[in-house]
Amino acid sequence: MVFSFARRLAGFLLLFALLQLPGLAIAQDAVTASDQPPAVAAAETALARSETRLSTLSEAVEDDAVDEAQLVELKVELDDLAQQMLEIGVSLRPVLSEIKARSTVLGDPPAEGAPAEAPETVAAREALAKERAQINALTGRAEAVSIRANRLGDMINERRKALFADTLTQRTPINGALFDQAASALSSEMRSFKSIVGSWVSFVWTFKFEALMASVFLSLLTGLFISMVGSRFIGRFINRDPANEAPSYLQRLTVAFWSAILPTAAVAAAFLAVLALMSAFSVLRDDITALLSAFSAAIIGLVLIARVAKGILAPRKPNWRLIRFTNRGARRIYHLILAMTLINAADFLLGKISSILGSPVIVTVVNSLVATILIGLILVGASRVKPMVGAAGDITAPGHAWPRWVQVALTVSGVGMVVLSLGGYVGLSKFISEQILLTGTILALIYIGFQSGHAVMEPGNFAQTRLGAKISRRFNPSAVRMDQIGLAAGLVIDVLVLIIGIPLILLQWGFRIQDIQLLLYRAVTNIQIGGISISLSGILIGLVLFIGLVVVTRLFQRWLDSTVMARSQMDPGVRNSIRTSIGYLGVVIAALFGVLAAGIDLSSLAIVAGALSLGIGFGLQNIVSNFVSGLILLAERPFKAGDWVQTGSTEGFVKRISVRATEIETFEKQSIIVPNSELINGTVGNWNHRNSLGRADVMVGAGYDADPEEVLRILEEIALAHPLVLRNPPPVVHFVDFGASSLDFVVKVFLADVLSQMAVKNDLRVAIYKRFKAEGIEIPFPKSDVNFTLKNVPDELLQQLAKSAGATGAKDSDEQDGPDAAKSSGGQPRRDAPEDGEADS
Amino acid sequence: MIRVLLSLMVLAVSGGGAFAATFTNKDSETQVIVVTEDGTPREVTIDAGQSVDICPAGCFVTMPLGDRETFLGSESVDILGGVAVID
Repeated sequence: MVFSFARRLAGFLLLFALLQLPGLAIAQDAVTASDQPPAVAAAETALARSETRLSTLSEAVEDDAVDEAQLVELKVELDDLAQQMLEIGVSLRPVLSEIKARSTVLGDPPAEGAPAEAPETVAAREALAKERAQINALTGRAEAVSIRANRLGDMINERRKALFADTLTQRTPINGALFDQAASALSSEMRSFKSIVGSWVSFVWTFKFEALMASVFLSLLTGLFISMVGSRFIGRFINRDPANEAPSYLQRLTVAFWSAILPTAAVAAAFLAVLALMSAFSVLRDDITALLSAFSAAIIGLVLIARVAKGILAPRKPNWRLIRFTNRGARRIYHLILAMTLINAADFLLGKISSILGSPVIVTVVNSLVATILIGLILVGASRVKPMVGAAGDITAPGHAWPRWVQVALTVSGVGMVVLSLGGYVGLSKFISEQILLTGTILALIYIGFQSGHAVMEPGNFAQTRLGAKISRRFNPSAVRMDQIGLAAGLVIDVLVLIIGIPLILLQWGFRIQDIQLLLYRAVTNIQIGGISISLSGILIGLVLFIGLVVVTRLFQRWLDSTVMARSQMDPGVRNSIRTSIGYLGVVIAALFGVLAAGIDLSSLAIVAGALSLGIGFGLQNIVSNFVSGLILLAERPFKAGDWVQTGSTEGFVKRISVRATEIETFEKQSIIVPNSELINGTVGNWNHRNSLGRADVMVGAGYDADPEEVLRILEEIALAHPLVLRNPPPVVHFVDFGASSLDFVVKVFLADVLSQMAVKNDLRVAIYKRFKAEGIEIPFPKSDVNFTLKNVPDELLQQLAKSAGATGAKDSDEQDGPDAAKSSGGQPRRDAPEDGEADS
Repeated sequence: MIRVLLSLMVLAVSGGGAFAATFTNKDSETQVIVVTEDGTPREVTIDAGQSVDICPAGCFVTMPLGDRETFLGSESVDILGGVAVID
C-alpha cells in the first residue's frame, strides 16, 4: 500500500513538474528578452567607459602639477562627460516607457485578502519589476557620474581661480641675479629658436620643395586676390573722400567703423588662408604652426587696434575726427596708442615663443617686466598730453589738459604699473596692461556703435544713408515716416552693439558662452524681488500681444465697416455706433490678454484698487456717468452723427459721439463738446430723428384795406408755386390776427428737408413782396394817429391857426372843439385813417 | 539711458527663447520630486494641479515612486499616479 501511494505521489509530482515547464519557459524568456534591448546594452557599455574615464580625470584634477591650460581641457572633458550622462539617461527613456506600458497592461496587484492571481502573472510582474529596477539602477549610475563630474568641475574652477590669483600676486625679486639668469636663458632660447626654424626650413627645402613652392605661390595669390577685392569693393567704404569738407557725424562714424573692421578681417583672412594652405600641403610642423599662429594673432590685434584708433582720432584729417581733440593732441595720442599696442603685441609674441620653445619662466618675466615698464611710462606720458579743444573751438591751437579724472586715472595706472613691475609683481602689471588695451578697444567700439545709433536717429539723417536712400526710392514714404524708420534703425543698431559688445567683454574676462547664456536666461525670465517675481520677457510679450490685438481690432473694424456694413443698407449713424462699440470691446480684450500674458498677478493689484476705489469712485463719478450715457446713446440712438439737434443752449449738427462727450458743430462751424450725461438727462430736440420733414412759417402783414380772402388765396398760390414745398401735407395759410398796423397772416409750408427752410422762406418772402406790389396790397409800416388838443389859447392865435388851417384845408370838427379836450393826443390809434393835406375833409 | 534700457528689453525677447522643462502634477495630492541639476540634488514640491518650469539645461529627476528619469530641458511632463508621463 505504501509502495503504490509512493508511486502515485511520484507520478503526481512528475506531472506537476511537467506542468511547470511552460511557466518556467515563459519566465525564462521574459528575463532573457529584457537583456536584449540594444539601448540598455549600449547604455551599460557607455556607462562603464565613462566611469573609468571619470576616475582618470579625477586623478588628473587632484594632481598638483597641472597648469591652467590643462585644467581648461580637463573642465571641457568633464562637461562633455556630464552631457553624455544626460544623453545616456534619455536613451533609456523609451525602454522605461515600454516597461510602464506593460505594467499598466498587467494592472494593479490584487489587494489584501483577494484571491491570488495566476503564477504567470506573478512571474511577469516580478520580471517587469526586475527590469524596471535595472533601468533605474543604470540611470542612477549615470546620475552619480554626472554629480561627480560636476563636483570635479567645481574643483577645477577653484583651482583656476587660485592659480589666477597666484599669477597676479606672484613676486619675483628684481635684482641683478634675475637679469643674469634671464640673459643666459634668453641666449639659449634664441639658439634653440634658430635651430628649430632652421631645421624646419632646411627640411622643407630639401624634401618638400614643390609643396613649399606651391603653398607659397598660392598664398601670394590669395593675398593679391584679397587685396584686390578689398581695394575694389571695400575701398569706397573706408576711403575718406578728401573732397568732402564737412562730413556728417554719421559719415565719419560709418567710415571709422568699416575702416576698422574690414582691413582687420582682410588681414585675418589672409593669414588664415596661408595657414590653411600650408597645412593642406603638409609643409608645417606642429611647433611651426604654433609660432605662425601666434605671429598672425599679434599682427591681427595690432591692425585692429591701430585702425580703431585711427578711425576715432583721424590724426591727419581733422574733418573726419570723431572726438573733439586738437590736431596736435590727436597725433600724439595716436602715436602713443600705436606704441602701446606694438609693445603689447611684441610681449605677447615673445611670451608665446618662449612657451613653445619651452624656455624657463624667467624669460617671460623679464619680457613682461620691460614691456610693462614701457607701457607704464607711455600711460604717464599720455596723461601729460593736452588734447582737449579750448573754449574757442580752434583745433589747430595748443589744447587744454584732460579732465581731472582722466589725468588721474592715466597717471595712477601708469605709475602703478611701473611700481608694481619694479616691485616684482610682474604678472599683475601685465594683467592690468592687457586689460586696459583689450577692454579699452571693445569699449571704444561700443562707443562708436552707440554714436552711430544716435546719429541715425537724428531727424533727416536716416534718409541720407545708403539703406535709407534705397528704402525711400522703393517705398517712397513721407518724411515723418522716414524719421520713424530711422528711430527704429537706431534702436536696432543699439541692440546689436549690446549683443555683440557685452558678451565680448565678458568672454574676455573669462566667462564662458554657456554662463552668459544662462545669466541672460535667468535675468530675463525670472527676476526675484522679495516675494514678487518679474519676468521681463513676459512683460514684453504682453506688450507685443496688446499692440498686436489692438491692430487686429482696428483692421477688423475697418473691414467690417467697408465690406459688411457698406453693403447692408444701414444708415451711417448705426454703422458708427457699431464700429465704436467693437473698437472698445477689442481694446478691452487686448488689454486683458496682454496682462494675462505678462504674467502679472492681478490679486495684489486688486487690493490696491479696492483701497483706492472710494476716492476714485467719487472723483470719477461724472466721467463714469458720461461714459455710461455715451454707451446708452450708442445703443438707443436718440440721434446719430449728422443730425441737427438742439440741446438747452446749443444747436447744430452732431459730428461725433464718443465715450465721454458728443461733438456738435454749430452753423457758425464752431465745435461744441457736450458731455453725454447732459444729453441723456436733458431734453434734446432732433430735427432728423424720424425723418427730415420740417415746417417753415412765414409771417406777413397786409394793409387794412386789403381783402383778407384775396390775400389768403394769393398766399396759398405762392406757396404751392414753390418747387420745394410739399403737396402732402399741403401748405396752410391762416389769417391770424388784426395786428396793430396790419392784418396778420401766416403761411405754413412743409418741406422734405428741413435744412432747406431758410432758402424756402427767403424765396417765399420775395415772391410775396413782388405779388403784393403787383396786386397793390400794402405791407404797412406800424402806424399811429396823433391828436392835437388846444386849451386856453388866446383868440388871436386861434384865428391865426384857423386861417392857416383853412389855407391848408384841414378842417376838422376837432379844431372847433378847441377847449374840449375830448380826444387824447399821441398814441391812441384812430379807427379812420386821418389824411393830411386832403382838400375835402 | 532710456535707449539702452529699451535695447536691453528687446534683447530680452531673444533671451526668452530658451525654455525649461515643464512639470504638471495631475494627481490629487502634492508630489515631491528630487531634481539633480548641475550636480546638486534638491527637492521640488509640486502641489496638485500646479505646474513648475525647471531644468533649462537638463537634469536627472527621481519620481515619488522611485523611477529615475532624465530630461534635456525641452520636455513637458505630467505626473500621474507618481509616475512621469512625457509628452
